[in-house]
Amino acid sequence: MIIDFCTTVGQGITEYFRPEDLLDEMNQNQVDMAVIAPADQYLAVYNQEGNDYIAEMVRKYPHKFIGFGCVSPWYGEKAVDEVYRIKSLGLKGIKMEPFIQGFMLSDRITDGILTACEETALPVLVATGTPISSMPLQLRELALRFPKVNFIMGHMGFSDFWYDVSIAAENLDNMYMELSYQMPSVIIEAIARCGRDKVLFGSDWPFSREKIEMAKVGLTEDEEDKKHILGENAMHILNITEEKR
Amino acid sequence: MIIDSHIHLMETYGSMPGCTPDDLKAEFEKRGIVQAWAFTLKGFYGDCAGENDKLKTLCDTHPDMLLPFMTVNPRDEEKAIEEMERAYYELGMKGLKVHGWCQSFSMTEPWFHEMCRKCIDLNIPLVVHDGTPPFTEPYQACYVAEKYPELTIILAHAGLNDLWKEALYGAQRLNNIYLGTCSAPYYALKKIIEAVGSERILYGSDGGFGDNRIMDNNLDKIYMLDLKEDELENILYKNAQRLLNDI
Repeated sequence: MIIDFCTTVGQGITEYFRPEDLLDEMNQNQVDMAVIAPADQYLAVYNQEGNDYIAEMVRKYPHKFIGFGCVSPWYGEKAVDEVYRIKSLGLKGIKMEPFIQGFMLSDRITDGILTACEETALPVLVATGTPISSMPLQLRELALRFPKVNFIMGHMGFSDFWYDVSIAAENLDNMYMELSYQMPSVIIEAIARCGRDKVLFGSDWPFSREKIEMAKVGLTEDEEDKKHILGENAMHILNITEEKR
Repeated sequence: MIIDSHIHLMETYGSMPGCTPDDLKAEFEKRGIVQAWAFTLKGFYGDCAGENDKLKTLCDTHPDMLLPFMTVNPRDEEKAIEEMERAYYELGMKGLKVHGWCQSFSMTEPWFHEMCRKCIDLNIPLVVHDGTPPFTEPYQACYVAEKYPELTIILAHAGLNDLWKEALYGAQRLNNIYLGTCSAPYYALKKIIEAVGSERILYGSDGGFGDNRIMDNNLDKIYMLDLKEDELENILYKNAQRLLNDI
């Protein structure tokens, strides 16, 4: 099974990212399922509306989409409540974009949200690579403080934190890396140092494309590596099996 | 036909293996690349003149394919200007590449402006790394471009993931700003080409820096943009060709 671990759908501030276009993209690239998350304003402020929309898209295409919700930590207790609501909507994780949501990963402002993620067993996908708010080693500190929460280092620290990727993920059971945008050398190093269990295929569609990012899975010639990166690691994190689809 | 406006030629870079000119030639032939603008990497960390010499020697093994660009350390002031003259007149280098991140300077700092004026005197393009704050913010390059309208300045990464909108707005406002496609996200390039057209966009890959399949990632991105034939030609080789012939 092939799972694209990072995509965005729905209305953004200037553009509508059609879920049906994502389905076309997936068909063209033989991708079975995609993790979808809300765009722009729904990520930043209108979290409930965004999460409802994602849940609706999952209901519409249950065999294709896996929903991730968003919560702004600035809502405090309400944000924590929203994590439980995300769980009850049937969504499978939380996506954070610290730069867009206006906080730093090293602030303790997300502690309540992450405690709720631990209780609900929701993994956390974080777009990384933007200084000063979202860097790989900041995520490592979170992963050390919340060892029962699975974290996914979105975009592997791209653009400029390529030298921190493997050291941030090394020896941590609860840290994974999503490979969109990143350079071949960095992905090869991550597989070698952290293991094939830790790297995930993701495209960040529509901002990059599945064909471009999937080509990077071909950096390894080992068929088992490929299977893990394309889908098995994602299935493990999301606790899904072929039968449950 | 393709001209890659951004490759690095080196023996090694820390733990990363480099690439010999012959290896690069083989990689280029696989992908229809006929020529590349070659930059140093080690030269950004000290011995600029020595590394300029080395780069020139490496490029001379395939002189039609590899066009060497010089680097200098802007903080060397007069010595840097002398090195620009030497690299241009004695080594025949085609342009100046500086890397504000690796070299730790901002393009807005006064000592760099002598180098900009020298590029205009020598009629050579200036290629800068961009997209990495605090030293290579696109608007820092715009400040220079605005101050020196005769200077041709190429932002090699079109702002990268975080700052591509600045690169887009900068190129919209200033005609002497060119943008390289190297490592810029697909979506950023789509929006940039829609906004500023294809005449000031240059294909680049960072080839030679680590695993060369980085060339495929960067080429796939261009081919997936659904460009018209003339736009594709502009980006893949015509703009690069024109820049070195015209200015």
